Amino acid sequence: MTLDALPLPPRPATASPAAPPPPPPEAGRHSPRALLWGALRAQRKDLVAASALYSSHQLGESMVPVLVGATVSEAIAGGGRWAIAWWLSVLAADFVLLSLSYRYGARASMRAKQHTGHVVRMWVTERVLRPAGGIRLAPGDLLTRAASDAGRVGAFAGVVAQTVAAVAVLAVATALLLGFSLLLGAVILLGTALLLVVQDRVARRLRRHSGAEQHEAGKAAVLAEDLVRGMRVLKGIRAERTAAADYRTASQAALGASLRAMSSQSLLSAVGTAFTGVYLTVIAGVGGWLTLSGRIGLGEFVAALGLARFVVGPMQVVSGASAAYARAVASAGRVLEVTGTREEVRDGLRPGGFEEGRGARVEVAGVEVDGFSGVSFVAECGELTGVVVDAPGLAGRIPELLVRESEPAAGRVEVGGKAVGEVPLERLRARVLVSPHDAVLFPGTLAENIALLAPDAKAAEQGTWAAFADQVIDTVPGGADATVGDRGESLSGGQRQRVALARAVAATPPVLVLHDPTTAVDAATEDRIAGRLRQVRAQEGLTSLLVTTSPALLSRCDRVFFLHGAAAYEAASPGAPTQGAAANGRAANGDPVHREAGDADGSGADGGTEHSRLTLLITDSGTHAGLMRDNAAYRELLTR
Amino acid sequence: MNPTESAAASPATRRLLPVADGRRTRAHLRTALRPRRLLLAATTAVMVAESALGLVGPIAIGWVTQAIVDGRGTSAVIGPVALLAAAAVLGAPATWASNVLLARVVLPEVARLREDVVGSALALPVDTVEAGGSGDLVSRVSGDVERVTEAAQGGLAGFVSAALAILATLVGLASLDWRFALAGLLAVPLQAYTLRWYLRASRPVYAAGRTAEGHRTSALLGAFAALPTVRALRLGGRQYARVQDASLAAAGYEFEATRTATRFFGRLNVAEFVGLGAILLVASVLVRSGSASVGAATTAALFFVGLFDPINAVLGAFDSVQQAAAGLARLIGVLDATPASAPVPAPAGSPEAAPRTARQPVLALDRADFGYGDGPDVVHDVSLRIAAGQHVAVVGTTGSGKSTVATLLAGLRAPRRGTATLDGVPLADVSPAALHGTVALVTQETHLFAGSVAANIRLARPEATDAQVAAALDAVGATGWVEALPDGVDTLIGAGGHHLAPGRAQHLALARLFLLDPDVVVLDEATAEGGSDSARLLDTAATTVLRGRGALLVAHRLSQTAGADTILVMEEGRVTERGSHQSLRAAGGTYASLWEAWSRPG
Repeated sequence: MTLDALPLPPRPATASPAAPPPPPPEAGRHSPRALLWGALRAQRKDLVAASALYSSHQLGESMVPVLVGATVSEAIAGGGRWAIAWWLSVLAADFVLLSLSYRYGARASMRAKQHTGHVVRMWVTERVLRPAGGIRLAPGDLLTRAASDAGRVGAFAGVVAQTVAAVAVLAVATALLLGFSLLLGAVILLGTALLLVVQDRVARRLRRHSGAEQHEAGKAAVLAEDLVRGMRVLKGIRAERTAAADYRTASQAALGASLRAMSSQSLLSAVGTAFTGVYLTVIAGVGGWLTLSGRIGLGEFVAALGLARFVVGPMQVVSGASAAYARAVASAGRVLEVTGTREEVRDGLRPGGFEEGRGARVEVAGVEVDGFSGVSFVAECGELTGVVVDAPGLAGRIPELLVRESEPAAGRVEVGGKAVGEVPLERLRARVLVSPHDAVLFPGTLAENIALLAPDAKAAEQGTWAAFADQVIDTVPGGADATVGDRGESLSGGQRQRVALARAVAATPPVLVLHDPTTAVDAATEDRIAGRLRQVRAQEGLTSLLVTTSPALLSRCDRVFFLHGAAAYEAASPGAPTQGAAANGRAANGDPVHREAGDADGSGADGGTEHSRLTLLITDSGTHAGLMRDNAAYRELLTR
Repeated sequence: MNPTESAAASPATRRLLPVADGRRTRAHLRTALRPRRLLLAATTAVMVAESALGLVGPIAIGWVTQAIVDGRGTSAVIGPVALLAAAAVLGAPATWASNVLLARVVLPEVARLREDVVGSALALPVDTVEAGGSGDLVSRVSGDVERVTEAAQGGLAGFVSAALAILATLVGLASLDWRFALAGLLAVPLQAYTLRWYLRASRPVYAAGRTAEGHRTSALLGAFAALPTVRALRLGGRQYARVQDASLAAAGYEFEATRTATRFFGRLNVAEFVGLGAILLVASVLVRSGSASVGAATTAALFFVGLFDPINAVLGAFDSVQQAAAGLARLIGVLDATPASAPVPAPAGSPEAAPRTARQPVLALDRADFGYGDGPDVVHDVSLRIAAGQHVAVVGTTGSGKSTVATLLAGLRAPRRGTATLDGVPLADVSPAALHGTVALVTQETHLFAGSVAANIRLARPEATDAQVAAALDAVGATGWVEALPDGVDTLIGAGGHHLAPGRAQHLALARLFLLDPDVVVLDEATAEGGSDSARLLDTAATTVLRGRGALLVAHRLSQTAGADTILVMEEGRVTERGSHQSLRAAGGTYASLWEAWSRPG
């Protein structure tokens, strides 16, 4: 296939995000309540409309029994010939009012509900994706918060409108009843107040149980997501049954919690039923006695009974509102746990960025991270620089340091002559592209994945060529238009790595950092990739840093830095390890123990007051061939 | 115009997991509810009692009204009020019991359904699940289960009690005067027509809404699960836009559903007015002609007004039933997608380890062809045999079909032609329980499950003791770094836990394999992810795990495969060379040149 078919990315990849981030939830930074009301405030127009329309709908509904009562006494028990026609048209007008109010009220309420949920969902999404990082929750957990919890916060918008309407209709009904009879009105007011108090008591228990129910259900959902994602691993060891049993346990725990919540819910309903029954009994008794003793008329009695029955609904809405509020606040709290996450790194404050130019020199000097000190190396423009690390867990940290995914405990990291901490993150990462070792592909076709970050079609073509991904396109059925699955799982490991590499090279970043980019690729292909990579990157004067142990890649590097461990020592205070470095007497490159005051800020290190055990790294540098010849440790590491 | 347009469009065209049809869904429901029919009958009986008690209100009020019209004394209220009070007292326990009983019918059934769905999904071929996207499956076991539960609880309870209330009210109306009942029935044709219209109009909206929510889940999971890559490549903006589009689309369907529902309720209002108006008109005629009392007219009209809510509840219940049916069909679709031969029943107790026999099984592929989906064959005519303790290696360039062969031999995929057998029995016919502990595959997949290190290891043998887990970690040389973790083997890892480098995840996979202790292991680049971090540790660990077992090794680092008894070289899905390291090198073919590229000292 020809590469002309590769689609252009719809927007320049190096430009700002495709959509502007939403306004940060200013109001919702500190408390779940503030977040909830902040989210609702944005929908206030729809909320006001929904409340007003729901109120007029409820009033219309409440007028139905009143009008029936009036019709019975004015047109059926007595009245003129045409009285029935008159009262029926009044009733019809009432139906038009209540029906249209409901129609547009429900729509406004749904708009408010959906938009509130959407806004909160996007707050969560924005925070999770924010460059400054800091999110540690599991994807499934984040999903529950962005889907269910955002939805619950949204659902409260609907409750607000209903509650406002219920309060309005209760006020009007009470006024009407007071008009019929002071005694009846008083009974109804008192009954309402009592009902609210009793229901709130029972609802407290329900709230506790329904919190537990949501928690357990969430756990089961998270587990399901985790199991499905790890399905290949499960299948490999035939652990499907174990996994199904684990899920069963979680599901049964969720079931237990649901049943407990339902039993509280049943109690609440039973109290509601009992109370409503007693309330109606009292009203029928008092009303009947008032009418029989001639203090109110028949129409008023019928209307009062109708109203009394009718207000039970709004009363329940009002009493349920506090439970709904508690649920919404609980969900808002879970949302806040995401949106309020502390950022991993502080954004560089100094405006401006880098000088223009193709590449940028990278210098790491005397960095201390994860219990290792003396991490030092340099990558020059127009060169391929190899970094070989013989220290467990450290290799993955090096690319992170360059783009400030995390901060070193001490030391200097510079790109293009500027300390990375001083440059705004967005600019730094536009300059330095890290392709992580476990880079995943995105849903879409091969071509879309490769061209994802490419500035133009030529770059996409170059990336494809450099990563030897043209061979992937030729092998896969469907070629460049073949879809890769949710995370690239329809490709083999080696194919996936090459597409990820092609994507990174196609982005043409001034500084490209690759971490073990070809672990799943055979030696012959790796060798070809190394040669092509060199051709595409170095000839353009771009900086490339390879953190790898692959001889094929390293043999094409201009310079290789070999970081390996020496004796561990106790670091008592900043500056102490100097002797250790000198004592080792090896050719440490750069200035391995240079530290700057104040670097400990925000990185979790306690300013050097604590004794920590550090392993000092020795840096040997040279060409791959030279190191293979002269350095036994290097030779031993690479020829295993 | 929008960068996510193409990306958002692609999931729609994917082969999503199947959705069951209505007949299949109903059949499943019948089977599922059969063992609970006694409980269901009891629940219905309690609901009938509850609804009957609800009718006492209007009847008692009718009496009072009649007493007023008849001009009787104030003592006339005592009887009806006593009746009302009794109904209130009895109504509360009836409400409680009906709710509790219904929960006991519905909730365990829904829980079992979701467990079956997850079990079935895990039994599905990986390719089937991944073709539809794991987001689709996840949204089924969370979102759809939630809908079904809500509808089954709220909808069913509402439906039964409201339907009974309607029935009883109609009987009540008729017993007052059949002419009132007849007048009220004028509303029925309107309601029936409206319901029919609504069910037709809303079904596609709901179905599309559920699918849109599935896409939203996919978009969210896509952004959240790929977070390291998303951040590294600065794709936050794109992912944000993708989530935004999916979220707005899902909200759009919800809104569309509301538009339809409000039109539905608007038409029902018309029906209500027609019925109520007819009753009042009939009442005015009957009362004037003296053939009905004012009290009866009042009761009839109030009866009918009291019908508004239950009727809306019944018709609304159709709505939830329809929504639940959409969700249920998606759940049952997963159950049906599972091949009947390979369900994963959740074991009742702890699954017993398959008894180990002294003999070593023989695992073999014979002239196997394989291709993905409807695509062309990617593996052609591959034969290989792993006898007791033998190590067979497969090498070749990437994309030559090595990994596919590994999955065929491990029984995760079935060959299109030819056979994959264990001691002569086709792998597809061997029960999962028998395969557990016989053959195991570890790939370069580095998924860690959310949970402790020990729990991750124990996945292989849930019954393993702490000592056995520790021994497995020790055997592969992982004890050192595991103990250095914040809480040792109890450290939470996986999503949301302590981050482990891919090499360490692989190290744990090897410890898991050691604990599983299978007869034959298939290692597909299982130590490749070591990369810069822990390659040496992994190599030693792999050597330990391989000792004394049959093995198929797929590796591109030829130093790992050089010691194998037999080496197969694959090119474009075919085995092109076969022999020992020495003989292949001497032959001067593809293997010799691969070895040359690999061992060149830079």
